[in-house]
Amino acid sequence: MRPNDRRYRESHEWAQKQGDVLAVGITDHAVEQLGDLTFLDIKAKVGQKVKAGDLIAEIESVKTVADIYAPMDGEITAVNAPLGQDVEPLGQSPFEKGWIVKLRPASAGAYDQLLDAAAYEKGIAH
Amino acid sequence: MRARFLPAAIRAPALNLALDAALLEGRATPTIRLYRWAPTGLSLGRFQPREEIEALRSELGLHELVRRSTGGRAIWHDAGELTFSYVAPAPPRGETVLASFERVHRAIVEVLSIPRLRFVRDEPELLSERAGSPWCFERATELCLALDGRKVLGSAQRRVRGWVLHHGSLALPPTTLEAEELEARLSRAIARALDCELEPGELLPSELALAESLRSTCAL
Repeated sequence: MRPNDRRYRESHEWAQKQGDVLAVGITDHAVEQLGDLTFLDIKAKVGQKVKAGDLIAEIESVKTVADIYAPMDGEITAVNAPLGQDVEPLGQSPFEKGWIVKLRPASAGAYDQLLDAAAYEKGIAH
Repeated sequence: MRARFLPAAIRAPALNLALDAALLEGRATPTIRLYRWAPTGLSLGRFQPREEIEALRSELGLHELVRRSTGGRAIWHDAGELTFSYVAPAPPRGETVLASFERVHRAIVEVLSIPRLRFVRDEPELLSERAGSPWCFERATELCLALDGRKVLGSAQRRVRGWVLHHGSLALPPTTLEAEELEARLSRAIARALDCELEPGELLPSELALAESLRSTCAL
């Protein structure tokens, strides 16, 4: 069972409440799908306003590049710049060390509309 | 699944890549393309530092330098190279990227039916390997294909909103197969890998227009 202290998107991002912001990363399932990670390019900038589904980062593994999206509307408040130098912590521990950006949601309700762990797992099981 | 098939065409490097970008942006119809490059092109992987290749440029002569949206390393696209791409919904859930590479490459081995064409992992000795090389064909993974000790096929992917753009580059010795026969077999191989039926088609005017507008983003 994946952590219940956060919410998920079908496109394999997670969002965890940390005070009035959300930490955003990608799931272990996404990491497994991609294989050995080689590079993370965080596109989002601190202060940038994003919409749900906007590109926030690109991640490369074994010759594959995949997009990572904002889980909801909001403003970027922090980026995990060290992952751009060394993506290994994300690969090793996507839920603990793998946050990519932090985001202040534009509305309080959007978080609850994301998937809980059980719903996300049901989705990836099919 | 049915997939539109765009038979081999020769285009300029930036337009070749811009067409793939347009197909991925549209994500309307699963599409398989074969293509060749004129003038000769030199493509870099999405995050490959340009500096890796810059020092070699004066030795390589005139060519158009472009950047793929897919991963991997530099490829020299001359008359001896055949590129294929497909844009399609991402593979079934649960299939890893590596497994999808293996599925495509296995179909190519089976359908091309070229003696001694096999996975790099099954090649007794790989002579084309060069540690630290910026070139795709000198840096093989076990799922690349090799012939007589040399890597001859590599792949890379881009995944966007549930769809995949797959690039493959095939550089066989010139006497291996006639171009037409090679193209016919390769298209059948990709169809088998994707479990789809090919429908010969054409690019839509809207796709060509979008590609033209994206062309400058592919050139370096």
